[in-house]
Parts: sequence; C-alpha cells; structure tokens
Amino acid sequence: MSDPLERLLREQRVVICCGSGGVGKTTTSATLALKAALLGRRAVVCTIDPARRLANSLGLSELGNEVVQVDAARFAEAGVEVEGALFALMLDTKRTFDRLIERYTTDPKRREAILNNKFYQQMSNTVVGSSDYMAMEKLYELSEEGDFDLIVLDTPPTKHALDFLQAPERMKRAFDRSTLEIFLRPWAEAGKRSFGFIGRALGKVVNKVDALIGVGFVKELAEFFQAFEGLYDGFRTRADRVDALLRDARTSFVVVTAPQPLPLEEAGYFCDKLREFSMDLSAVVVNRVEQSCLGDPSDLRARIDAAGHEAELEAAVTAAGVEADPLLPAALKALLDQERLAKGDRERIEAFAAGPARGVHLREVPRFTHDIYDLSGLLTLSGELFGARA
Amino acid sequence: MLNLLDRRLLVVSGKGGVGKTMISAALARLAVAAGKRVLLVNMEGQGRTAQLFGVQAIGPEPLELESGLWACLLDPKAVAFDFILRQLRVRRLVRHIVESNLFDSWFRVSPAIKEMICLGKVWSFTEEKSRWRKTPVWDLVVFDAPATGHGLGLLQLPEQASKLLLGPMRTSALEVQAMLEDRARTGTVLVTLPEDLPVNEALHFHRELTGTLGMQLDLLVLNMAFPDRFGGAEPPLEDVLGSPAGRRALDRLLGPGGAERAAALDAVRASWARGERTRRYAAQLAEGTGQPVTRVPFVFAERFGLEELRQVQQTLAHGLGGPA
Repeated sequence: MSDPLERLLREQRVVICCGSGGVGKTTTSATLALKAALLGRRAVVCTIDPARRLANSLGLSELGNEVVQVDAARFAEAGVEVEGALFALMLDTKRTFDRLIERYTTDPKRREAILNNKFYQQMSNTVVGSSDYMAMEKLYELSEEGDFDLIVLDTPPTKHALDFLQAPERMKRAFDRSTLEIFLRPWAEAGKRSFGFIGRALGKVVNKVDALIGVGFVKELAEFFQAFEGLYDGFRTRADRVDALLRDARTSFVVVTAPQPLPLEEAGYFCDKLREFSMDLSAVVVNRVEQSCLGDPSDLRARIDAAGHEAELEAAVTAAGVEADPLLPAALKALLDQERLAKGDRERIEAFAAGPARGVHLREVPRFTHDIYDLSGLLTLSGELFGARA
Repeated sequence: MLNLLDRRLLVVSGKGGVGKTMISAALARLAVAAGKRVLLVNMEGQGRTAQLFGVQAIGPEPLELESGLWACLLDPKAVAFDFILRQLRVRRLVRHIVESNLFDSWFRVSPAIKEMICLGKVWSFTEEKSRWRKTPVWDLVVFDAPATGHGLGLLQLPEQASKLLLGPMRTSALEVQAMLEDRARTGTVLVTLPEDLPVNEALHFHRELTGTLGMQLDLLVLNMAFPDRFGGAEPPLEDVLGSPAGRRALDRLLGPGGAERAAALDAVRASWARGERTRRYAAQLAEGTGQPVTRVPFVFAERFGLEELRQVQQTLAHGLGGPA
C-alpha cells in the first residue's frame, strides 16, 4: 500500500487528530474512521462537541458518553457497503471524570465526598479546562477495552498544543503526593500551635490566602485533596500508561488545518510540539483549499501580476463585446477572485509544506460548495482524501 | 441606541477563527478616529495585531501602535501573580505559591479562575485614572475575548465566580459583573461566519445572553460575508458563459481553446452558491436574533493589511450608524 494515510488507517491502533478550532477537525476525524471501516476495520471515532447535524447523522442524538454503532441502514441509504464497522461516541467530560473517580474509589463514602465537592464539580464541569485530560482518559479507556481495531480521537480545540500533549504529565503532577503535602500542610497545621518562625510565617500565609479566595473555598480544596488521598498512586500509574499509549509505535498523529494564516500558524506550532515530544506525526490534512479552474494558472497569474486584476477583467469584458449578457462581468469577476484565493492558498500551503510541515505527508482537500453534515458528505470528503475509490 | 463607541468597554466574543482580532482592531480604530484614547486588549492573537501594525511584539504593558491606539497582551499567570501580590504583599511567598505544581495544575484546569482574573484586569483598565488629573487613562477598552468555544464563555464568569468565591475575589467579581451588565458602560459584540456551526453557536450565544444573563447584544457581525454578485435567483450561468460573447471573454481570460470552460462554469456556480449561503445565514441570524446583522465583506486580497482593515472599519461604521 503506497498511500501513507491509508496505511495508517489499515495498520495503526490509534490516530489522534489535532488542530485549531474551525478547520474541519471533527469532520476529518469522522471521515478517517469511516474510511477505516470501509477498509474492513472496526473503527470508533471519539468526538468532542460535533455539529449537531453530523452527530445526528451518525446516530449520536442522545449525546451520551457511550459508544454507538452507526447503523448499517445508514450506509445502505448512502449507497455504500461497509466491510468493517463504524462506531462513534461523543465525549462527556464530566461523566468520564466521574467514572474515573468511581473506578478508583472503593469506599462509597469517599466517592460521594469527591463527587459532591464543589471544587471537583467546578473542575470536572468546565468544558475547556479538563476536556483535554478527559479526551486522553477516554482514549485510554477505549484502548484498554480492546473492542476496536482503530480509535480515531478528535481532540479539543485547545489553543496550546503543549497543554494537550502534557495532559498525562500534568495529571500526574496535579496528583503528586509530595506537591500536595507541601502545599496543603500549612492548612492542615494551621490549627496547631507552632512556635518556629517558619510555622508562624506559614500561618500568616494561610490566613492571607483564606482572606483572599475565601475560607470556604480553601476548605473545599483541602477536602477535595483529602478525599483523593490514596487515589494518587492509581492516577499516577494511569497517567504513565496514557503517556506510553501516546508514544506507542501503533499510535499516530494527524494535524488538521486550513490554508488561512492563523490555522497554519497554529498547525505549525502543533507540528513543532509533536516533534519536540517525539510523537509520531504521520500526516497533515489541509482542508478547504481554494481551487483554480485552470490546470496551469501560471500564464494568467503572470498577466495579473503585470497588469493587475482590474485590467484583466476589463480586457476580458472588452473581448466579449457589446452583445454580452449583463451578468458576464460579475461572472468573470467571480472567476478572477477565485483565482486570487487559489493563489493565496497555494503560496501559503507551499510555505507551510517547506517550513513547519517539512518531511510530513501533506494531503489537501478542496473547499466544498456545501457544509458537510451527513454521511454522504463524509463519503464525499473520503473520496477527496483517498481518491474516488471510497 | 447608545453609541457603541461611547461606552467604556467593548467585549468582542466569538468562536476561534472567526476574525475577532481583526474586528476588535477595526472597532478600536473607529473609536480613535472619533477622538478617543483606546486600549486594545488581546489574550491571544496578539501576533496578528502586531503584524498588522508593523510592531515587533505586544507585551503586557500597553504599547502605542499609532496615535491614540494602544495595545497589550494579558498573560493570565502574570495577571494572577500581580493580583495575589497585591493581597499578600510578600513577593517571595507569592512566587512560591504561583510556581508550585499544584497552583500550576489548578490554574490550568480552572479556566474560570484564570479568565476571571483576566476579566478583572480588563475591568481595572477601565477604572485606571491618570495620576494628576484623575481622568480615565482609557476612554475605551476593546477586549478581544479568548475563544471559549462554548456558549457565553467569559461573559457569564463573574456571575459564576461570585457564587463560588469569597473575599476580595468575590468583591471584584461582583464589580466586574455590575460593569458588564451596565449597558451605558459596556458594549457586547459578537462575531460569526456564514457557516453552519458558527451561525448555530451565534444563535445559541444570543439566546443565552439575552435570556440567562438578561444582557443585550449591541453589534452582531457576520464576518467574511461572501459577495452577492448576481442578485438573488440562480443566474443562467451556462448561457452567460456559453454564449459566443462569453466564450470570447473566457478565451481572453483563461487562454484560447476553451479546455477549462467546464471548470470555469463550476467555479462561477460555486461562487454564486457561496454568496447565496451568506445571504441565507444572514437571514437566519437576523430572524433568530431579531437584530440587524452587519456584514463585513470577504477580503480577497492575499494579505490582510491596514488598507483592508480600513475597509472593515467603514463597513462597521455603517453598521453602527456613525461617521466612517
């Protein structure tokens, strides 16, 4: 198999798609899983907050945290036959976090204490903050269950690649017993009499911090970590395993982007970070690339560079003559504008391919006339990504 | 309606990639043109602002980009450090706390706290007075709010924070909340794109803002609005381009032989469809929010520079009903 992206879908166990928001990352993830299913694998796509219509088309209407198989009837409707099977699930950050707690707390009283803790509720509920942890957690869970040949993970649109890649490491640090002890000991000992200078100083800090963010809050925080006592080792081991999974030979990363300056800049950052963390960056997918209607636009571009857009438009209108339809100038303007967009995209993609994405397999997908929100749309995208054979 | 540029604070919201940074810069420049001293606050995307105005970098200290227009970057951790330092007053202790692993982890997983502290900082900019004359340092602060991806994001934070916190942080949360809710002082701007997901999120944002928070949306911007070149109904493009006159024009433009005529027809059709989609999404936004939609036209230039920014300004000035 010569196609690197297809080989990825045939051979790997985990494919992680990352990139900034609004570049079609979720759609691309779903398409990769779909293609893998078409290639005969049992594939699951784990998405985060997909467009509702896309979710509906995959049968994810109930917004659960559970894996749902995409009905064969839906494929039949779209006119394709799947050799393998396609599953999908929508990440529910809070429920994933709750499950993690439930798994590691055997004592029901302690479990309740954690689940009802205000600090825990805030932390597990803030979608932006903990979704990168939980995407990792879900990935590990799915990988451990071993029900699937391939897991495609659509990552949260975190602006900082670093945050996402360091999620296991940070999780570990957050639950590092020694850190907790150093930080929380002053509170634990604040009630006791302490004579030393350090003890008095720490006591003052405790009072100040209490005054600053509120006694109630610190109490909640302390209770939270107390309830976690004994869970730390479990969490740390798990974070280590997630990290190992990310570095596994059968785990690959795909960076998804669009040919605008901002997404390309962020994609470049992702590429650099993946290299820095020695993760396997296998491919870059550039979505929504504007196309030229010319097989070889170099002639037109040279003329535009020499004379400008307006002059080219005028020359074409003049060539048409007086009997031309009044809509013709607008149509020609549309063509020239499209040419301009295509040129800009081409230049940026070339710079990107030679710069941050050097040495990485790069795939382009043209901009579609319509938004993709159903299975047949995914099939169209798959056709563009992998050739019409899809 | 109160003039948007006469407020003290503009909060520019929208999901990632909709062009918030450019719209924020254009609004800031409009206010400068109206004779105001303006501070543009970025939390990310300051690279684009710096590039646009040809400065090296924008840092935490306000930097004058051009006469009357200043910009700064909020670094959440530095802002938190300052905030805690003001309360504890012992630099070494504060550094010890802020640099501890636990604080770091907690700070990262609690975006509410991080963003609340930054919102507090933005608020304090509006409160800043000059030392001698005791007049506000900034007539207007334009806050290019970070993309939270979900619902109201930043705007609902003070309310949530005031429930969870006590002490000075609660007091400051309440003050920020009062400021945000005061329409005479704060203006809200939402930026979206003519695409399915951004439009639905914009409608959701509007519902939450006007419903849950009881606030108003002052300016709804549909950015990158594709031009409506053919005026509504599907044009007979095949006839237009297929006629002898059309063929002559295409031969002139694309080169003789006509090998690419089919592709050219497809491209023009796609362009019409894109304009049509913009029209449909604009209508959907107007109907869903009951508010006027300010369409900022798509920029075809290969590079977005100050000239393009000026054009965006003019469109926005129209949307605000003020002078350009």
